[in-house]
Amino acid sequence: MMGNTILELQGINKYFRDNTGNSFHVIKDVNLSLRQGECIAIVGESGCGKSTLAKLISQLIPVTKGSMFYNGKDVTNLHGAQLKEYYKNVQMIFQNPLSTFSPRMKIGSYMVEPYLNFKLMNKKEALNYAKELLETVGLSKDFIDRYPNELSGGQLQRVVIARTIGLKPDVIICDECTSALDVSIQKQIIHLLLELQSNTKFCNIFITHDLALAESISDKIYVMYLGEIVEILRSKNISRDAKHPYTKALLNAVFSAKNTNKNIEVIKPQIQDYTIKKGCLFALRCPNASENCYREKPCLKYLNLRCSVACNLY
Amino acid sequence: MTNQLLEIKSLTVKYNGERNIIENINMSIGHKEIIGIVGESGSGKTTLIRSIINLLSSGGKIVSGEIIFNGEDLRKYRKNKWKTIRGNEICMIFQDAGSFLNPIQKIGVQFVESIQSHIDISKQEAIKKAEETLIKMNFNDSSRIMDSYPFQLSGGMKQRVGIAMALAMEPKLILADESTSALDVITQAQVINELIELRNSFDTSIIIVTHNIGCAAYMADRIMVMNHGKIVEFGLKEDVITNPQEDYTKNLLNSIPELEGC
Ligand SMILES: Nc1ncnc2c1ncn2[C@@H]1O[C@H](COP(=O)(O)OP(=O)(O)OP(=O)(O)O)[C@@H](O)[C@H]1O
Ligand SMILES: Nc1ncnc2c1ncn2[C@@H]1O[C@H](COP(=O)(O)OP(=O)(O)OP(=O)(O)O)[C@@H](O)[C@H]1O
Ligand SMILES: [Mg+2]
Ligand SMILES: [Mg+2]
Repeated sequence: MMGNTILELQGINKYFRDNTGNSFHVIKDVNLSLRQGECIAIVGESGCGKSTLAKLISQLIPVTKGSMFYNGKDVTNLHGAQLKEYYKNVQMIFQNPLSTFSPRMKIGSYMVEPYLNFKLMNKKEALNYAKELLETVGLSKDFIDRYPNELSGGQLQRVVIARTIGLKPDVIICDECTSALDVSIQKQIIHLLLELQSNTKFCNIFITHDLALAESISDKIYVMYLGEIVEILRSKNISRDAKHPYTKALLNAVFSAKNTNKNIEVIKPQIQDYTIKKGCLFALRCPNASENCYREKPCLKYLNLRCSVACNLY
Repeated sequence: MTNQLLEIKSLTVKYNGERNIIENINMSIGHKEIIGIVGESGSGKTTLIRSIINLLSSGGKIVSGEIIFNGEDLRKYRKNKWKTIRGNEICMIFQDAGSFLNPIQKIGVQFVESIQSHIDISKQEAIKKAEETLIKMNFNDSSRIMDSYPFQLSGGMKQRVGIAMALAMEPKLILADESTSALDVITQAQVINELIELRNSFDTSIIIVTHNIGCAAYMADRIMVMNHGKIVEFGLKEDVITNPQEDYTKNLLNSIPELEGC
């Protein structure tokens, strides 16, 4: 079942400059690997760097430090034709669908754009293909004549998904691509993605806030906190297998529709001094932190088949 | 005669003379009440709440019906009258959080301007209020946020800025469209608790459109289920969640992914 490694990140770092001229360390020494046909999920706090990581992998922004390998080849600094080929193989579905549309471009032109750009077919073929794709995501083919602002949030999201699937890339990075869908349509779309995955062996990086969804569809879950990977779960029962106090805090804050009396616990934010490099980043909010956690930085450790964790308790 | 904050009577809305997008909607919301709207993508949830504050997207038109807010018919309001209540007594938090922010202005400037245009306080006080509200939204570095342009913020950060801007106005009614969909569960719970807190301290009523039924079940008093432009079910949350009457609702509830071992 598990194939070759398709994508590998080694010690990836990204700094942004803020408006006072200070640099801001957003992605910290991230290692990640993706095998053929695999689906990995990335979860973590709002602002922890998930979308930034996705943009680094899709080569939309440059890496500050570290290397990236695709099918064994170093792709950290691709240019020209090679970059274009990479763009075709590794596709990202953005978090916010509306921002990827230009308001005066009809859905049809938006859909056919990449097929024409990559010279995969002629205009007429592309339009017919686009109509077919719309129907696979549960939309009417008449939508090709509509403008983006004439569609609902979830309809736009499905247009983006349809266009991406149509390119048949090797890797699809879905940045919260089902968050604007109701649960029953989400189920259909997930089903569609999984079906494609088993038919075409493409890989999927799925960024989501829905832990239950992550658990059910992925082979591996990466948990991020302030730009670091703090836990990797290879489990279909994360409530049982998660060890990191941050992951446990996430699980305690999930709203349940079945159990409305569930006690929702919120760990409060703490004013964080980003210049501190010592110790565990989560220590300030951690219910189990000891003296040592403010001094010693935990590394990601392999605990068992189901869990690797970066925490001084383990 | 009535103690409802908002009443919608037989509301029908169309775009470009096509079929009715929402049809004959009747609902009301009391003071201090929270209503959760869930339902199919494209069923008209955004259309419904946008029509309340007269901000339908292009071609949208109310065909018939009444919208009564605090005893006044909103459909009779003129432009300058809208200015006095929109963003003040009624605040909308949009589905696409980034789109309402000005891309070339820092968050702080926009936030302070928006506070000062509705509340008569000094700039210093407005800055203080903005930062305090941002901290409630789980930001641990509110001064960096104030000093950022929208493109420098993550999706969930923009969403929280949008909620903070509405919260700071202490309005009578908040219309929130998928406002926590881009938030991790801890931040989401924190933000939802702040909305509930706002309701408790300022008697604010809230209509929240969400695909997260667990979230609706947690915060709402009543839940409304929409499909194909119609209300298919509307009742106390306990009833809708534990004893759904309609097949559509049952199917929706069955599609919710749940964690193993919970
Ligand atoms: N272009 C940029 N310039 C400066 N800072 C940026 C830029 N883009 C992102 N950031 C910062 O990097 C951090 C990570 O942002 P990112 O969008 O990756 O978060 P995220 O994990 O996707 O969050 P969310 O779940 O809210 O979408 C944030 O603190 C954000 O403010
Ligand atoms: N400006 C417009 N012109 C024409 N049709 C429109 C326009 N805006 C929305 N629609 C259509 O009206 C219907 C309802 O849209 P609305 O945005 O209210 O749905 P929604 O329930 O909010 O969906 P979602 O959960 O996907 O956001 C959809 O079928 C949409 O395509
Ligand atoms: Mg993001
Ligand atoms: Mg909507």
